Amino acid sequence: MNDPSSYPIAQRIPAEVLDGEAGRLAALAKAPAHKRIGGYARLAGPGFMGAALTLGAGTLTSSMLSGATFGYRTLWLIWLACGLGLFMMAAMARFTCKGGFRVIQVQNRRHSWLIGSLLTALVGTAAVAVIFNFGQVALGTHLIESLAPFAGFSFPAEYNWVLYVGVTSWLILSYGRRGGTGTRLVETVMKAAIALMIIAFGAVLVVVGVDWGAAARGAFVPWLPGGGQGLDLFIASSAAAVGVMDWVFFHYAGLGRGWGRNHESLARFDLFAGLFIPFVVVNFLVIGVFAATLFPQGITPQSAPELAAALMPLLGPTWSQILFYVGFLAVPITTTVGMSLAGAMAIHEAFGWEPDTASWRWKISALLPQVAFLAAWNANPVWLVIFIAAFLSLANNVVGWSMYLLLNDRKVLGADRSKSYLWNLGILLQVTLLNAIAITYVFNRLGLW
Amino acid sequence: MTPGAGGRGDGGTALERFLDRRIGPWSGRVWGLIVNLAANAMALWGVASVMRTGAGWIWIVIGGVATAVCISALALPAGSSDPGE
Repeated sequence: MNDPSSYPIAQRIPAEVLDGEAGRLAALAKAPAHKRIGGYARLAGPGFMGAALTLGAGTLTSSMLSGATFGYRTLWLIWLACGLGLFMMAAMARFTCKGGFRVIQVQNRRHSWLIGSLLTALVGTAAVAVIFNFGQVALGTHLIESLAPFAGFSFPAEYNWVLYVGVTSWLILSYGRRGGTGTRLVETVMKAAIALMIIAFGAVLVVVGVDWGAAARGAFVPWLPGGGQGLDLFIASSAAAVGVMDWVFFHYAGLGRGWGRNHESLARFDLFAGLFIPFVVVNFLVIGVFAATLFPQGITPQSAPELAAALMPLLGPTWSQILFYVGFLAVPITTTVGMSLAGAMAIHEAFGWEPDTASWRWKISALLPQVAFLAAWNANPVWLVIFIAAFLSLANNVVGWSMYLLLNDRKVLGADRSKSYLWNLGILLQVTLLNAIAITYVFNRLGLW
Repeated sequence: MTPGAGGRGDGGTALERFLDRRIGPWSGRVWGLIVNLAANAMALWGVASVMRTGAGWIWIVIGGVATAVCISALALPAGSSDPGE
């Protein structure tokens, strides 16, 4: 237990690379704060990958809708939701760095395969990767179709899905290859994509202007619409920012980097600088753009393509329209890559397979979500989405219970178990919000909500 | 200072011993999570009732207080007063 290189994906990294990283970490621990931050930023990765995974079509559509419907007033929910999720993510970092185990296998042993293999791996991660990828492909191909006319040609979704699936598949299959350089390549692309989102949405926000007073009030003064809509918005935003797939992905991506006991400070830095900051900044920018444009006009389209199309005439110069589309295109691409990797890791854990990124089994598992290319023809497996969403609503909280129990389990973590009242409290608040999602789902079905 | 902490060397407080003890099929922590779920449902049942009929505040209060009590108790780390760790 706790051998940093015991996870098969980490075994592909040469020992001298892992030793070099351990040496740099030891040197950084004694370095002044500014040097430590710079060094950690270069070594971080799984947190940025987590942000790129979480910032998908669903999250961004939700932010666009919030901005168009409520203006700046729901900005506070973004940092609160993601901040609350960090307590659980810190537990995943503990499992990776100090536990050194594979969490789904430990869940199977301590809490039964129903909780580990079924609810965490297959339902909470693999099924979600396949189903939610339909939304990513639909958005991605639509954005490519919308961008093509700026270059003077037409490139409909029915054809451009080949480009979308080709690029994302190449990135997915690069992960864990070529002695660890493939993993670093994927992480670098994810970091660059987040930077692109921030630059693109930031530049567009500069063009449309910001009401700084309203934005500051929205960021720090809690406000919710009245009645059930307000409670729904609060529960959904608070619990959905960081979910089961994010927990699993961060944990296994850390194992894949060969993280061990000395990496916990880096993992926590990665969670804050790689996940929290980009998630909050990108959502703030998107809400800001729509709060400054569609909100004053009372225009509230319901889908991402409609929202983007309604925004275009208000952006002014052509370059700002192109920039918005390019930044927006980075959203589904990175989420497809992240979800596919998370799905492959989860499928292997569920069935007790050793992840070998060169094997056909890995490649098929990782490319399974690409069946969503059918979304280019507006195919949407509605019945499957409803079924998975229902199962997910009822299962997420149980997985949260399992993680909380493992963090406090002497037999699993020994002296490294949680000894912090505040840490447990943060996790329990998130678990309670996940409970609320399950309960409101049941009440909805019974016609009580 | 964490609520219920103390009693070094005696295997923890009564609450700590309850959380870590096996009671039937599960530990006290699991039972606490189940009671928390019931309390959450009670509070949301109250919210749903208030939205539909205007009555049901009592369920919100009972469920809310029970949720706060459960979360406060469950946040106590396992064996937080174990000596030598």
